[in-house]
Amino acid sequence: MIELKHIRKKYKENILFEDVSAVFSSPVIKIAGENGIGKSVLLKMIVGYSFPDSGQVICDGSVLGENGRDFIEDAGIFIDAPQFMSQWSGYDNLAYLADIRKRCSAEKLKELIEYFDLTDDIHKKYRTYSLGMRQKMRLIQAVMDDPKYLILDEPFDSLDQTAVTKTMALLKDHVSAGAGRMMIYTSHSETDTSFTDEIYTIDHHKLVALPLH
Amino acid sequence: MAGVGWKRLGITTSAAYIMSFFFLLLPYRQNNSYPVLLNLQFLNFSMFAHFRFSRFDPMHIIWFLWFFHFTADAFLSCINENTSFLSMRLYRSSRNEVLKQMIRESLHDIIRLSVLLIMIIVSIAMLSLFWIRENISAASVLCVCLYCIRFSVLLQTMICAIRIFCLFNPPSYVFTLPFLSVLAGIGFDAVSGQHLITCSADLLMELYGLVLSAGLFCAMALCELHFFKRKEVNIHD
Repeated sequence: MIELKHIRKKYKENILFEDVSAVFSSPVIKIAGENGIGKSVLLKMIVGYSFPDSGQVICDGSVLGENGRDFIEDAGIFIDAPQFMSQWSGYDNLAYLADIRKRCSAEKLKELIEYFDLTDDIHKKYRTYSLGMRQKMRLIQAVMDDPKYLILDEPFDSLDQTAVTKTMALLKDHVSAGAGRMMIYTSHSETDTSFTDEIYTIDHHKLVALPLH
Repeated sequence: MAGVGWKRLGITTSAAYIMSFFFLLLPYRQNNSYPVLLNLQFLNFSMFAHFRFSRFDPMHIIWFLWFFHFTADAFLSCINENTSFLSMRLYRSSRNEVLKQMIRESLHDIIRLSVLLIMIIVSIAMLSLFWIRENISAASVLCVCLYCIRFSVLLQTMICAIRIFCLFNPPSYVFTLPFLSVLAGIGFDAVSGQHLITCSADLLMELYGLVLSAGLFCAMALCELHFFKRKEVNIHD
């Protein structure tokens, strides 16, 4: 469970959030809205990359930024389309990250690579990858450690329709595979929300719940 | 390991460095020791003034810029990529762990850079011996090798600082602080005739400089460890 308590956040003199409180406990939560309203900033605060000016982010009972807890634990994250090491191959990048937690076996990594149709290109340099392939790399690194929390910023960007469908199926399976698993993702587009349990948007510095379609 | 693209850096740096050395050697070879020539390569302005600009071969500027461009490009491209990649490493462990790992990587890079520079220096010495038949003393080569290690430590201190500053938010002073430090060092060398950045051509001075550089690296690492806990993470590439 992730809880926001009286969050206030300014960004370059603009107030993005004012006294925002919310409890996220549903398995799949979407943060919708247009570009520039603060979706990514909200995710950054939830994971611990960014700090609220006041208020607290509480994850499983622990306050982020206190008692040596820097980031949300047991999570798979990508925010603001992070890039990999361009001079390495796609596989070397993923293997390097997999080696940190040592939870993802070589077989599992291979399965994910095949699932996203990257088998033929995975040993090429990352700098030669297209936008869609880069997005698939980000998705693989997020899910490969089987994390409890998935925090994904625009996960369907740059993907073709086939890849979007496969990604949705994978994320749905991932969330339903274990008790307490949760995914929070942002999207500025009207993606399929059939597997989404709650939708929020940011309006006048507040987090507002939207009805499910 | 994250860090610097050594293959590309090694080839471009070696080629540009060796070529620029021979362009320098022709006008300045008489009565100049090997460390002095090395310093001229790094555009030590006080030495240029001493040896008269009129004898300076303008072609050297081209080689120097070529050398500088490729070296800087290779380093900076890697540093930019690391910023983004590090965000994916960070959440898998902790700030302290990643920072310690970055410092360990920098120490490995110091060894690689030292070996690369020493290989270049030895190649130049060998080429000089066979081509120009100029004797280079063992003390000079040893002194230059020590300088290479010292230079590697200084350079890696700057790179490590940039990599860590890149992670801070806001990162506006990422490049300003380390580059101003280097410019100040070069300026100090030129004005005072000291050798903070350039080679002193003195074995003891180089040893002393190496100890000071290592101390600087340790101080930087400790400061970064301290400040890093209190800063937001910049995850833009």
